[in-house]
Amino acid sequence: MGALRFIREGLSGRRGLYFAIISVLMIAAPLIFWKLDMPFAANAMLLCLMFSIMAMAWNLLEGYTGQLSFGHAVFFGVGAYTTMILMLYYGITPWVGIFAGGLVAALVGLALGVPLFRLKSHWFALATIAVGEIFKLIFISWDYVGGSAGLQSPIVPESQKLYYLQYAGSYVYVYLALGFLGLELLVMYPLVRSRIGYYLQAIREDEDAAMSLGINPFKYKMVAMFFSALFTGIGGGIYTVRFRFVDPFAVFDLISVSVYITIAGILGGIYSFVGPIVGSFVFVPISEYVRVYVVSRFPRFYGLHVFVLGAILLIISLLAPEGIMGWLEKKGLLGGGEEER
Amino acid sequence: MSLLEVRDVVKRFGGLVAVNGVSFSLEEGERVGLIGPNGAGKTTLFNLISGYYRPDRGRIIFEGEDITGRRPYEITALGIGRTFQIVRPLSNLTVLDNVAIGALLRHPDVDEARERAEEVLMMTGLHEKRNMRAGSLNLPEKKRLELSRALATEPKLLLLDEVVAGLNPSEVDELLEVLRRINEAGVTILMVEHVMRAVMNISERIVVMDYGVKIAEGTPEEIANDPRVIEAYLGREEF
Repeated sequence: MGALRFIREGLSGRRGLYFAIISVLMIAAPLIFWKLDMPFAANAMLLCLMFSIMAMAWNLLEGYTGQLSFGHAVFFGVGAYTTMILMLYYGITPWVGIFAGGLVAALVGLALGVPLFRLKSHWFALATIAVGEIFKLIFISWDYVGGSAGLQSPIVPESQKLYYLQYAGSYVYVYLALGFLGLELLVMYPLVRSRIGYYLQAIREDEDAAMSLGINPFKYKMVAMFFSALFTGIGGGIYTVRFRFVDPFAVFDLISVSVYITIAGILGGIYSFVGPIVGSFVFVPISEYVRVYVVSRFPRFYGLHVFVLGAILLIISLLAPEGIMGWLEKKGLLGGGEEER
Repeated sequence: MSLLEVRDVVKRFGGLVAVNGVSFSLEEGERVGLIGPNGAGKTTLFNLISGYYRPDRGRIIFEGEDITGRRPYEITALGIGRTFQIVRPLSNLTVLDNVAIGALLRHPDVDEARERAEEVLMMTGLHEKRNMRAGSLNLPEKKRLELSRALATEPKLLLLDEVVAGLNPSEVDELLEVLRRINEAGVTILMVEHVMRAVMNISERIVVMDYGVKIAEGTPEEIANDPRVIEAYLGREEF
């Protein structure tokens, strides 16, 4: 099959070696954190992986298709709520619920794509912000989903831990997130290397030129939206099983969800396939560390951590305006000539 | 049956009538030039045929099928390729990828499309630049890229909007030779051109527009001696 061939090619040479080393490190890390009793590190890694999944999904729309979304909290929130509701109201295992969350998010994405893709560039971006806020308001006033109080899943007995995916700490969830990131790579890599990936880039570069080459921009934007929302929704499902609590203010938050996904993606480099993963693994630890350290050290300066985080982002963006991967490529640190890592 | 038939099309922009009741037809295998002073409505006519504008009146028939109001990507798929006068390269992609994206229309397999793109670039003389960013080409090269990309969609009819402009005389001859070969391979060509030497040289037939209206049609010799055409270009002599 074509997909398998793309994956084989993608893993050939030095890239395959990097991939193998990073995979081994990722699989070993939670065990080490567990042995050394480092729950904070394990939780930070889980957040890195969740943002990796979502930033990569987001980047299919931004980096490949040129559609800048500040509304991915919608898909994150819908995925989180779907997993929670299926578990809480219907007793459905999150092993199914997480996939269902992704699927419902993808369908919401398609429904939103119909009006949103009538808008171009900054108007599209503005509308995604509005949609995110609208979803927050709907969920705040919707009693079935717990309104502004949100929904919490109860602690289950030992015998049902696996069925309800309920474990102490973040260690197990790191492996869950790793599995989903692996699945995402298996879907996304062949996708961007196929005809669809080329068509998305043509749309990003110039829609009129793309149409002259036989490309229907709306159709392919919808394809990008489907996969983008799907994996962002899966990110939401992982959040639900890990934190056992969803509320509209947290999951539909413009800054700590939508904008953080955007920052992770841009920081890593939107023109690189793995850029958003790199960006997440740089941004999330900095953000977590700054939050915990600055707040505990300077408890009287409320909001100082946001200021410090902003300053760090400013410095990185000045040093590497094309993102970390773009910067590495310019410095020739990626082995040269290897396009789209 | 004509390959393309333009019947009495009208396009208005506010109070301006850019194309005012133009009719003409193209036979399969022809090379036809479309000329006229600046603002005559040539590019507007191209945009009407290729689906970027919808005519306010009139019909456009391609291979016997009414394509009036069809979307640009549908028209490309039916077999009408076009270039843009103001070039639109996919700037951040390589020259090869630009052309391969065109080839993907008929060859969904990426490797096959890239092979096809290499062949096209060989023919249009851009093969050496295939790994360059399209945005870094100079203007004549970008025009050639426009041609290559349109060609990669394997059109039956090729609409060329000033692909020769900006080339030096020997480059013009080279490109005209390429166009002849494309035409010999069975592609009908309609070209808008300001370089008279080029359009007179390659066209079998010429359509002349002025102020949105077709004012003349005929062989290059007939057109060169047509008083209405001379008047449109040079203005009327007042006595």
